[in-house]
Amino acid sequence: MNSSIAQSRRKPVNPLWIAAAAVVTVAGVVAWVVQLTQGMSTVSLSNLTPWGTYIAGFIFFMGLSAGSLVLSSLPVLFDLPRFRPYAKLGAYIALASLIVGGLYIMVDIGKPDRLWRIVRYAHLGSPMLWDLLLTVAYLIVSTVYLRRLMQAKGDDKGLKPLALIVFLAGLADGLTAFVFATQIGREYWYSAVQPIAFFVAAVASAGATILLVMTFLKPSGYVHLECCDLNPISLLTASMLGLSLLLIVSEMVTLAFSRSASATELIDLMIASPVFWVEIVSGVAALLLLLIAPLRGGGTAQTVTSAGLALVHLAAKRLTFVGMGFAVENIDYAGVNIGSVGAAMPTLVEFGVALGLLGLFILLLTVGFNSFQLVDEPRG
Amino acid sequence: MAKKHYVMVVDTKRCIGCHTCALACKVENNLPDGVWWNRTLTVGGDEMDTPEGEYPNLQIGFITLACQHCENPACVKVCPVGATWKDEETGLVMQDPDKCIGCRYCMVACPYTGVRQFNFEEPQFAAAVEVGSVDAFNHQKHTVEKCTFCATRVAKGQEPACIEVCPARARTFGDLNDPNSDVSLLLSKRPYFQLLDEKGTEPSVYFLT
Amino acid sequence: MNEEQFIKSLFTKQAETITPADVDLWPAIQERLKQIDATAAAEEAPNPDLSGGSPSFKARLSEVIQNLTYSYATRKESPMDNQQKGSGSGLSRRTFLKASGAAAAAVTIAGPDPRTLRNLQVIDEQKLSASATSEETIVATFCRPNCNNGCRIYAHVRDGKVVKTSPAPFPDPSYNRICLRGLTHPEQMYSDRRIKYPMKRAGERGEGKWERITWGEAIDTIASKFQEITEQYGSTAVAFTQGSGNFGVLSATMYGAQHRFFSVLGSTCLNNTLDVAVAHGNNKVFGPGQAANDIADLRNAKTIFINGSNVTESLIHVWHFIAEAQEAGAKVIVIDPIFTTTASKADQWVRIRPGTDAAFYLGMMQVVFAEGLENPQYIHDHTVGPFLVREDTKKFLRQSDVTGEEPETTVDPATGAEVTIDPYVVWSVEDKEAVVLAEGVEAALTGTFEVNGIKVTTALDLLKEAVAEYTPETVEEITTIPAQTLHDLAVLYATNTPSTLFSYMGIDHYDNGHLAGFAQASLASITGNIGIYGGTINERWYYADNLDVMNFVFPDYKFPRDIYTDDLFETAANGTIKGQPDPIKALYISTCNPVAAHSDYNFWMSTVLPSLDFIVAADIFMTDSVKQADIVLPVAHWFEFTDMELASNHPYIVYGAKAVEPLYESKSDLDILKLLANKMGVGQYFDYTEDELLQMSISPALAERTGCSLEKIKEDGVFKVWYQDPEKPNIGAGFNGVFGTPSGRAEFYNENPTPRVNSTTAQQFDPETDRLPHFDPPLEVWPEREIAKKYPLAFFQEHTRWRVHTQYSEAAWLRELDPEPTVKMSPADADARGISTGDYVEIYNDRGSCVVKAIVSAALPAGMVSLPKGWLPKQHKEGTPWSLTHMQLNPSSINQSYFDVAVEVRKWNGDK
Repeated sequence: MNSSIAQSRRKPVNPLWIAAAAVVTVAGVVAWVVQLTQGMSTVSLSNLTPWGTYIAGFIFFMGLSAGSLVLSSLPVLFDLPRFRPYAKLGAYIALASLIVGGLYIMVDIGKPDRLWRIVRYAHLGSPMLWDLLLTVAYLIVSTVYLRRLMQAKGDDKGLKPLALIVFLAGLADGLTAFVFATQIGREYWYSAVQPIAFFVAAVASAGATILLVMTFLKPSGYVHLECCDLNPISLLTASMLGLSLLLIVSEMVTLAFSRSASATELIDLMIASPVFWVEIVSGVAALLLLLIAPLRGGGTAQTVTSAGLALVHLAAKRLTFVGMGFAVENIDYAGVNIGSVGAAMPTLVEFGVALGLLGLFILLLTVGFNSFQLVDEPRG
Repeated sequence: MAKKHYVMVVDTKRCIGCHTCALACKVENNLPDGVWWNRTLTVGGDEMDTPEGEYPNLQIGFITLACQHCENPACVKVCPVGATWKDEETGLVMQDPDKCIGCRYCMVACPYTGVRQFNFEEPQFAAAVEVGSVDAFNHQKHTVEKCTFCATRVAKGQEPACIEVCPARARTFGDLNDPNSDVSLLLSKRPYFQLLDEKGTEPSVYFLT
Repeated sequence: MNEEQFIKSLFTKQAETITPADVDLWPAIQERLKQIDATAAAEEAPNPDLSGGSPSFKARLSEVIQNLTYSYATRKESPMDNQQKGSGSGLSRRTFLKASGAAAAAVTIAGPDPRTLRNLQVIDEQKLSASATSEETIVATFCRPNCNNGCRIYAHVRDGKVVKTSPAPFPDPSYNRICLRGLTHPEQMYSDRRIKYPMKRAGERGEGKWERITWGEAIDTIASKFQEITEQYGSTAVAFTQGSGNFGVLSATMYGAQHRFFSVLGSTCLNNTLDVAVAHGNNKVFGPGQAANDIADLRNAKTIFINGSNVTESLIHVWHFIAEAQEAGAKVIVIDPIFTTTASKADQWVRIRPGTDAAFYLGMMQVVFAEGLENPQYIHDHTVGPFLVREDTKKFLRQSDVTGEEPETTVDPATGAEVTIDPYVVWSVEDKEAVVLAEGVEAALTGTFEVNGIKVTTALDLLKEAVAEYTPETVEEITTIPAQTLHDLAVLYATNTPSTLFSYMGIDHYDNGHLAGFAQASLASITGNIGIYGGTINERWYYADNLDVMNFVFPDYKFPRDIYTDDLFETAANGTIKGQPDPIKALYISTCNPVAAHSDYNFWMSTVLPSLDFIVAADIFMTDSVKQADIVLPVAHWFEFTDMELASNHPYIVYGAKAVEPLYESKSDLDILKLLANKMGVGQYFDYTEDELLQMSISPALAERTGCSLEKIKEDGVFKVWYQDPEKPNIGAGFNGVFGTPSGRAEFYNENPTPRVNSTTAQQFDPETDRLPHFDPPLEVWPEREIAKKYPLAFFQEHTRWRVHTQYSEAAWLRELDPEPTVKMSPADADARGISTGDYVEIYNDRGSCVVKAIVSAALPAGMVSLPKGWLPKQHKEGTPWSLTHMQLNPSSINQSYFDVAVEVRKWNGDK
């Protein structure tokens, strides 16, 4: 570590932020305890909608982790100096989101005390196990990589092999997509486009998060960056958002074209869903803002807004994705009521747990910023 | 010794949607409140026991829906811990509540809407006694359960509970690998369909038409 | 077989040689298997292969399955399994376990991978070992509500509790049966809804405040009250209800032990005037008794008309006989206003306007005559067709009319009654003159003649004349059935024979219900579709066929006094019956829920119950009627005492042994009666064991004909009641062309029409309106009625599978499937009223109202709503369906017409 960076290594985050994040996290733990003791009936799930907010959170954070790894490895692997300042940050975000993403699974399963059985009785055929292995790989890779980055001096040559692994690991977010894309029972998911869509969304979420974090950290002097330095990230995020929106259109067109009853029902349900419209509107707005930002010199407010909108889009996208998997019953004949179809409003407990994990994520980031120098000076 | 392939054959021309099989399942397996491994569904209007169409072109029919004990089960493939598995000797798709971690992936994977059910709470029982078989399933909070083809009965040489009670004599159970079994004979004589055939799950429940 | 061979057989294809007796070797074998398995386990390390289990282990298990399981073919229609034979003794679960020991053991000695063993056995071994030690006995008993089915079922008892019910075999396995309701007993028996101990009212009637009392106090109170009322008003001031809640000989209030008790006391029997119109119409033609053949005989029919019965919902055990007939090529036609599931299964469904079934049958007859499809030989030989009806007196012409001499009389040695001998006279085709009906005389079927100055016409001509106006076109106007359809149906019925007209209560509860019964019986008579295999009408209902009524119900010629619901209403209002002072002051309610299952709820509540000084209710559950009582007695559940079946639609007497002890302080109805009888000084009539009473109840005629005895019944648990042939279905009215009418023939012309019973309403009866089949419009559900203008919807109350009258209305498992009261209505009626499925609606008329959830169903015709029957008043958001009904009885049928009710429906906004 050179001396200038050592000097700038001070605590950029107000402890009140950390305290607030900790309180939200603790509230989330309380909500989780309520969920475990009173049962998962406290969550807006049913036999016909077995997955919901938590799985959306899992996808989001797994994506964020993967995307961050990609963004982190790119400059090292391909010597892209304009991206190089975010390499450490990316690795750290990957680590934090990985922990939180994993915890979304933890809170989603009914018997967390039996989680170890995934190891004990590992059934390798299950895409969820692939995902578990992926998570473990991410965890190792990002930890090692982060450590190496922190220890790195001079050029990145020695890091390249590791960066390649990190890059490939990032690309492997498609494996998370396979948890869903392999499911013949879920028409909305059962599509080869999902790995691509997941990857695109992953990178977009990482880009948007880095934009937000950088903008947030800038006033503290934690980083010495000119705003224009965010342009490459902005453009990358914008292009991924554009692709993401394109894939939504593509999905809608292919669904609509088939005119099958279930596809038509899916389209109708999407159009009727407010979350879907949040997804579209925020996505388009974020895209436009991100594209305009560099042209107009892009102020802080603009960055925050566009990055925020992009994250809203991506969160809504995951909620829509999970929800639409259950919106149409394959067999919808009338019979005894064994649960409702489609996502209901999240319950208080569910909100609590989901927010608590978000709080944990912020806690991990803020503590990280206050503990480590995670942004490098631009080189050259 | 040849492997068995236990299948269920339901005659939709006979089935009158009386729910007796559903009740027998409920009792035999001591199912908790709100849990129905085997359900009677009305193939008709939006409500139970209502027809579709307009007079005079009205139609109503019934299917009973439970685990299809698929030859190519979607659930088995996804379970991360092998709590659901296919018994190669009998074709039964089994579920172990002691092993289940409650991730509900099998419910997501199964295309047969609602045949797998999750105990969202500590199981409650309307009956004040433990009803049904002494071998009844060990229902647990936060685990997934489903029809077992009454494996413990089958092991004792009995039929699943839903078979013997059917007032319409619409249900038949047996080994499809035995060409002389009732199920084989029925399927060789009568046209039939399987639910969501196009999904490629190769279900072991056949519906005669 | 020794243990060596046994084990060997597990590994070879010889396992089928294992017999149940061999399982006694079990303990030794288990040890050996353990040793073998230990060796095997040493050889094969735990197998990580995710498909599970070691190959040899699995192979062994599959052997076990292969050889010890399951032979569907032998089970399906096999006669009673020897192993399961026997009723009272019960079959030990241990036997089962031993028989399946090989499978069980394979599990206990499980290999390393737990998943494999689970394909065979229980999930955890503890449970398995528990099952090996806990005894499960199986007691043969029977289900006994008024669903008709009389299922013989096994009660599975574990640790002194009934944990399961399952179908118990009949000698003819096509009668093996259980239904969703019969499966609910374990929940019902142990539910908190049971009445636990005797109670007396502590607040106002119906308030629901009770004080627990001892059996001694309860019996003392009842006995002293009954005695008090008897002293003041006479014994007939104490009444008991006839209810259908328990068709056990030792329980029933209709010809059961309870009837016996009140006969002895000389009390009043309150006959319930329900479900009797069609039977009355049938009986007018065929004479009293059972018209129908066994339901198994449906398989012999080539044409089956189902009219007024949703077999697939309310007679689900009858359905498979019809399905089998259909599969064998029979045509099944459903005549119903509603597109029922039964209709969906039929070859043809014909929608009919509610309450116009009589017109349909009259139209059928018109076509049969017009097309010459009647059966002249049958009419000549077995009906009153050739009888000559006097124009002046409307009576059949008899010998005395021709000779002018007084007829001879004689005394019937059996009854001691004076009998007139005056043969019928017919018109001889050969002699062209009136001759006494005799063998070999060819009588004219048609024509008007003058005999001895008396103008006479053949009864067949009168029938033809009566039905002539019911042309298909006229009938179309009445019934909405297209004329051509009616024509084709008539031709089918008359030509694709034998034909069965299967009707049930759907056509009964109209003011003109008996006319439908009258017309259908006449139609069957003129085509000869009666009394033959495959040719009959309606459902055979065995009621007290096994009973020595005179000895058992009316011992020592002690009879109760019969009154009818209309009589009760009159005395409740004025203290008179048929104008004579005749108070009813006490009512004993059991096996019955009159408040929630009889017409005119409002009058029951406002007038009948307040007119009673003392009400006793004995029941298993706290029904709305029990809530109105002064003294409540807890009755044991059916499986808690021994009894024998009194009624069912199968031809068997079924014995039911006590499976478990009565819960709490409950007692069987018989035990309650014994206490009461002793207290009231008539203990000698009940000083018998259950079996002694049951033996006493068996009719000597039955015993003589079939060799029936209690011993034989108990031996097999069942005994077939047969009439003509023990191997064949019983034939009802008209077997060999003989009928139980005065003439011994089918009388589609009644020379002496009488009301069904002589109740208050019967005083208005006009015989002239009741001689020949005809159609009268329904009382209310008829477009031309004034009331229909205000209340345009016919209020139909379908019987669903969820309940039997009000029984099972609180069964928790059924309520998961069918949670709350509903009404089904047509899309047209719903749209016109802005009603959608799920809306709460108020059904109302000038008499009352109720609030239920609407279900819009295209099955319903416009102008008709259908409310699934049997919910308790307390289960409604507001009101009760029975407040909409009335007690206007038809003077001929004396039957409650609770489908003949006009209502309107509107959206309800009262849900807070």
